Amino acid sequence: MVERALPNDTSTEQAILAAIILNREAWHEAQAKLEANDFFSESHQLVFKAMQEIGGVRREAIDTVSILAELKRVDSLERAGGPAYISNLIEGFPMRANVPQLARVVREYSLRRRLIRVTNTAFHRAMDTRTDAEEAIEEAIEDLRLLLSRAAGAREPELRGSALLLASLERGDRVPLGWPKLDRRMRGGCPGAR
Amino acid sequence: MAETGPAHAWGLPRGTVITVGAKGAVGKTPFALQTAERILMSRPAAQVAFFNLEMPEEEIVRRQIMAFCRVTDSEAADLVRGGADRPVEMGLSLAEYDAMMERFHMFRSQRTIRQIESAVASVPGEVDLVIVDHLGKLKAPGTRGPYERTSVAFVDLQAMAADLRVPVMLLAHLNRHDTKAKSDEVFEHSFRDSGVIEDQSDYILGLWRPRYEEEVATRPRMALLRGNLLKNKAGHSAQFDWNFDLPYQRIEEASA
Repeated sequence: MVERALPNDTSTEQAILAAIILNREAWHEAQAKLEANDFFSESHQLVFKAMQEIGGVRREAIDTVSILAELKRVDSLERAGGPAYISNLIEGFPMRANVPQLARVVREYSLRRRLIRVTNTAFHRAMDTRTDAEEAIEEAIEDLRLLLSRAAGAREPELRGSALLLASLERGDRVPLGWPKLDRRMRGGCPGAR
Repeated sequence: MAETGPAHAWGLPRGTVITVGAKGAVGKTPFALQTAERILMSRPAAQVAFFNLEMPEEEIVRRQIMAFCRVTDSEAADLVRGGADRPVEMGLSLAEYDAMMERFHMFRSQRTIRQIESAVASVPGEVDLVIVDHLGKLKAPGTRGPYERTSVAFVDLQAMAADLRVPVMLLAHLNRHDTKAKSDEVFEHSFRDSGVIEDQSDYILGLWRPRYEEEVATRPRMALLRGNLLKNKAGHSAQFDWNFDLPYQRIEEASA
């Protein structure tokens, strides 16, 4: 269905990774706004995951050496572009960058790609006549709801998405547990319920 | 309230029990705690009663802070030492966590269903979910042997849920050694040693980690947690995948 390359801006992705290496404060700004799978490039996803491990879990300084070591530790160095690529990540980038702006651009492209995936999935569900049409619509709506909550700034879309759903319901005969896919499966009393 | 549309029909019916079974160290308790969090965050008046029959209270609190405030184990301790005003980069601040915990009622001393029923009834207002962690720790006076004990406790729990019109999440600890299984996957027969649960449950959710051994060996940050809805009064069985962020003990539904 999608023949063109998915929307992406790998140079901005590189810029934000460079900013994190060059400026300790940038990590705190970036990690609050981005997740690894917000990056289009697999190499950049792996580098950001390494940063999460170093800066987020171990609370150590993020620099080229520690990234190389972490990528080597998880056997992802070659997939991330190799030592030369990682070592040159910061080349040409300034010490101080507008990290919120860079993160906004990376997220914007990430959301567009997710929207394409969600609508593509909805398309295939709609084409599959073995599935229940109403369920296909509900699943598409739920996927879009989760995406919307991510666009609104939620780090964890399903929590906000389910919270929106839960909040929209007055107390009824059922209690949504907050896991939308599970809750939907336990439903009853409506046409097409499975 | 009448069910006026599909969304209103979602979730666990009041008065019923969902049994969540898993082998050790898979993620039952984090799953239950985050279910509680999701319900508490859904409405300002929502309440959850948690019967913690196994872990020390401090352990539950530590796990909650890790998951709700998005901090690691050592950071949770720092956060508590630093006081309620300490800002948290993600998730809830400790003050927000404390406020939410006013609607999270943890009980430790109850062992029989009668005691649990009294405790639930003592909570002012309506309880939106009762969590019992876990089946193996329940007592059923007058019974002999674990099979009879768990059977009676389960039937009594179902009756309590119906009487009080509360939904109940019952955690069940399954033996890791299952000679019929090639993996840690949970099947209906995995509950065979857990009394009448296999036959009489309305809902059974089995949690397992398809890559458990690999994850234990490599200790990745993110694990795969899979849920098999093995019994579903409302319809078909189903399978769900969750991402389990191990350092933060945080579970997220795998999504688009």
